[in-house]
Amino acid sequence: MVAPVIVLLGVFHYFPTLGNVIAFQDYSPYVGIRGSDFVGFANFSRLFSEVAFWKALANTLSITAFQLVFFFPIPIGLALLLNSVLSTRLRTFIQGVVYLPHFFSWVLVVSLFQQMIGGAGLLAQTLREHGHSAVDLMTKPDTFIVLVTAQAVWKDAGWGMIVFLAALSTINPALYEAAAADGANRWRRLWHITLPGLRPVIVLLLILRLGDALTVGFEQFILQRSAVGGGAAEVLDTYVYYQGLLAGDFGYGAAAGLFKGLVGLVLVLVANKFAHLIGEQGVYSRS
Amino acid sequence: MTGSPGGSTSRRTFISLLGAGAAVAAGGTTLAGCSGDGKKSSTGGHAETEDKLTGLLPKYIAYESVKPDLPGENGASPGFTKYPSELKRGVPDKAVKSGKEVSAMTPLWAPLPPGLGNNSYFDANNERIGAPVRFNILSGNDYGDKLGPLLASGNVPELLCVPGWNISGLTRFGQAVDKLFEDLTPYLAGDKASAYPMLANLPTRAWAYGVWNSQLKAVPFPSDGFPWALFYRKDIFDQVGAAPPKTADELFALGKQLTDAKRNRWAFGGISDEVQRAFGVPSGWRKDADGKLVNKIETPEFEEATAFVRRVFQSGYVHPTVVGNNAVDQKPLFEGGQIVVRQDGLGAWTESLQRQMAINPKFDMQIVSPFAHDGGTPIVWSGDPAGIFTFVKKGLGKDRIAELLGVLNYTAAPFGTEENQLYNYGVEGKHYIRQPSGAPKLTALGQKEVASTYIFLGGRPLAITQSEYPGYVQAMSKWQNEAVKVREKNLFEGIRVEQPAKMAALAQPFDDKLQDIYRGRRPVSDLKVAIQEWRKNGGDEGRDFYAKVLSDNGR
Amino acid sequence: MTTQTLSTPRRLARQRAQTEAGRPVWEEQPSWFGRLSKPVVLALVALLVTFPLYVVVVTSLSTTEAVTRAGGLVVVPRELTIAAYVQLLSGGVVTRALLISTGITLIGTAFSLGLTVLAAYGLSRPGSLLHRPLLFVVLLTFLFGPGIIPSYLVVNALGLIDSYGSLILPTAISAFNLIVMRSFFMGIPGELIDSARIDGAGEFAVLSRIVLPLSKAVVAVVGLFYAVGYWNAFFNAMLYINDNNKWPLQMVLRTYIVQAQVLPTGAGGVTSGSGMGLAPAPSLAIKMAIVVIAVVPVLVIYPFIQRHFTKGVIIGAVKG
Repeated sequence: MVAPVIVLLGVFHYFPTLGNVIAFQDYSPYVGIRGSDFVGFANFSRLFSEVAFWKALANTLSITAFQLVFFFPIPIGLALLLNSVLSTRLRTFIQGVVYLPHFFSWVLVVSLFQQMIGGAGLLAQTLREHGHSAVDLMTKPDTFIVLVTAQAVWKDAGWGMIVFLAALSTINPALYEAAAADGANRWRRLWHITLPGLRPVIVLLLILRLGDALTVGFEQFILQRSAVGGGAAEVLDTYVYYQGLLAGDFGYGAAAGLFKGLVGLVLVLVANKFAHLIGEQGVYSRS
Repeated sequence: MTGSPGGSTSRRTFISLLGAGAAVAAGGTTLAGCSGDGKKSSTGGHAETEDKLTGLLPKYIAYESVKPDLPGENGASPGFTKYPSELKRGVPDKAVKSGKEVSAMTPLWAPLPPGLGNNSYFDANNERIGAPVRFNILSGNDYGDKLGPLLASGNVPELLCVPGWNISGLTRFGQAVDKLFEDLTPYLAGDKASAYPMLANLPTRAWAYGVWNSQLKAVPFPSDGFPWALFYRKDIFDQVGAAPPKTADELFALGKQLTDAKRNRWAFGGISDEVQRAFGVPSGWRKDADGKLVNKIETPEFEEATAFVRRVFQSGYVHPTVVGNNAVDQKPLFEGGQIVVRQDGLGAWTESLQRQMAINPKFDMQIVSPFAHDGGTPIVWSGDPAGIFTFVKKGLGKDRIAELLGVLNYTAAPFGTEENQLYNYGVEGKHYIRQPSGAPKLTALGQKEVASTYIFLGGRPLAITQSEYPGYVQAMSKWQNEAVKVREKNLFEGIRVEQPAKMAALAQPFDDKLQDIYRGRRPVSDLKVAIQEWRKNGGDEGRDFYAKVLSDNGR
Repeated sequence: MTTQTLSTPRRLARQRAQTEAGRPVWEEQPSWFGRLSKPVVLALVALLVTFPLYVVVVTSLSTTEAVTRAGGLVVVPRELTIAAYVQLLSGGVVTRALLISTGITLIGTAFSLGLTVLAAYGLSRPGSLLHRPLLFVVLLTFLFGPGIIPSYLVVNALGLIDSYGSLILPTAISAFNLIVMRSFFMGIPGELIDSARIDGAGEFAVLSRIVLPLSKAVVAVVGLFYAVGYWNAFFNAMLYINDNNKWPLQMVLRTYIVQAQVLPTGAGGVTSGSGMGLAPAPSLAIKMAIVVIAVVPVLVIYPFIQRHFTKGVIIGAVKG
């Protein structure tokens, strides 16, 4: 049953992924992998020797950590909230629109935020009309992490909610009825029935998110780079882009990709182990 | 966290988008032209010189279809204040005698037209060419993404258009050129070009840029080489009684005069490159008194310009949306009057006119004459004399190559020829009609079928022709003739230098610091630190490379 | 058995919904705080999403004049026009691409979903052959990806350039979707499957009669993810499809996005319109109309997905 998937992944994923060997080469696409010279770890040492690389890495990790706390739980909360809405019509309506910003490009999302809270946006212009000095919430390096998280939440929380709605539907409603009969109030029912029911999915998505820990977005950061400066907006992907990919340095890009994958793999394995310790399956079980 | 099969596509899209427009939008600094090439190592860099290439280049044979009313001198484009009533036939014979279909790949910045077989505009042109040209069209913003894999696989069409700005993302492009594309020297060098009169009519400076690895490899698309100009809204200037600036102080004073945040109006969009130019910053390198190369960012003028731009930002004269978003499209803001003065490429002028003439009769966009910060003699930056290149696939045989060059000869027909009219607008009466001004106007069928496809094959001499916009041809011609007089002397004139990859990586870290200074996050004095870092991380190495290019060419 | 699994939970759900205001009889009245805060939060969420959506729709319906006056996105509607949609959808080019995209999305989603269900089920039964290493193989694809050039060379070597297969096969399997689906399958009580086995059901029978009916929600969600992916994908088409007649919708729409853009310096001041006397709809309206077109199919199919988020599927089965 698994065979077709393995074949497809083998041909279209693993085979070309072998091409990442160019991370150890001074690669030219026109002479190919066989014709390019091997340079050992030169691409990696170029990556790791720059202070700016470590700054970008630190930025990336703090954004990931921040978003794990302030973004990750929101789709869960949203799913719970909607699930508790009794009016079918209202629930259907909100469910039916809340995921739509997922389909907006980052260019559009940033423009929309600008139109609302930017220096010439609705907020600023309203303040000006009333004789106050205008604030521009989009050019502050100190709060940039909050801004990008707010944008990410707005764009993707509704879409992320859908998986949790599906998970909620697998919880046995009779459990609630029985618990209520035993005198458990709504918070206790949430804690003892709903959350345990969602836990496998939550743990799974958390682990997968950790696998992507070094990816926090690209376009979003490039678009707002000059507004807050490279100090706040440089993340790993933008760094690699400007230092290598922009000039077509594929070996350097592949080295960065391998580094990201390895870090992700370590995080996934550690998190998976941890999941086992708290009695969860994680991505894959112990045996 | 969604898991769509599309993968990380959005990133690639954006990369290409940046490649095309970001420098324009951000008003940032661009350190030098192209990068890439290098035969052996990736940090090599490469240069081709016009001086040494005279034996390779086609002999220039002028072909005049119509006499310009406003001649362009010293490299300015000729201006035509009316559309000619009679068109001249430039290419009497069919180019493709065999009638065999021609495959071509070009970028397009317009909606995809109906394909071969459903498109009478294609049919009309192909009839004149002698064979169907089958275009693989790709959205211009995606073009660079496809070129890499295409060149790596060798899967190229007979005619391939390669925009110069995409070459910087293709390391070792020189290798690809060697491997995949035909050497055109035996077909075009010297007097041989006379077999293709339209190609022989292309400027020699442009041809020099079609040389790779000491072989004539591509047909160039000539460019006027003006990277920027400063545009302003004359209608708004008149309202508030403002006049175009002649000094930096006047420019700054305009900031105060024009900015009215409560009424949603700011004086400036992106202007930093134009400010640098006004302060006399060179576009790339210049030689100091000892003959040592100095990069633009190392000049005292650059520091003055930076301090000036910072003052403009700090005073709140720049539109906040431009301050806050790198990729914002400033044109709607300018056309809507929220921005009054901004820099853009010359092509922006007719584009805005086309959009606004119909709906806002008061809309009056004008160009600021080049000025120097102190009111003295200004300079104008000079860019490359060719920006887009068409290559011919290698190994197709002598006869076929000659046929394909014939196609490029057809698409090189200049303003005032039947061919030019046909590949730009289609058939008169069918795809377009003539307005009272003589300007072609597309019919409904024309709007559906006509697309900028043939014009991205090869190139043709530039001309200022859009006389349907009153005063435009005169104003543009005047500006260009003024500008060429003060065009900076480019040390590398006639040398196509491909920037070493290491220097390309220096651009963004420096620009970050510059933007920080503009926006008040760093003091102007930090510029010195930024320049030091730039030197240390490869700027000095780059200087040696460019110095060697000059000495190799005996300059 | 099958029919009961299907009908019982719905009947139960419907019975439960018979109480006053839809509240189950056993559920207590919410506190005043809950009664007050919930509508506020919901209203806020709805507003945060619908207002920008409204801006997008209004802008897509705006004239050049309105876009110019607003200097960008339009908030206050004035003289509305459907010019952008007319320009996008008229002419044979877009309609043909629309058909192609619909076909790719339907076939691709069925293909991806089918294989994903099979693999997720195969990997969800503990003790099945090699399931841990195979799962690891899938997981690794989530972490390490191939570059564009090697992928292109593989597709080229397989002769898939200019074939619709190149739009489906390379991205047919999403590790994320597969792992999520497997996790849901793992949640199905083992005794259900064991009892079916005792009744003599084979693997495919267990999958089709027990697992799938109990997993409609996740199958619907994963199907949605795949479908949305195929519908909005353009990158593979950009790389692998040279023939413009075979382009899917998103590729064609991308050529509308770039119109009226000035080319980078060096192009000799060529603009896309090139003074052809064209008066296109404002490019911003076109861009917003393209956003709307990307969203509409999802709006249409989402209610069908949502229908499967009914509560209590599993308990019904156990009782049945």
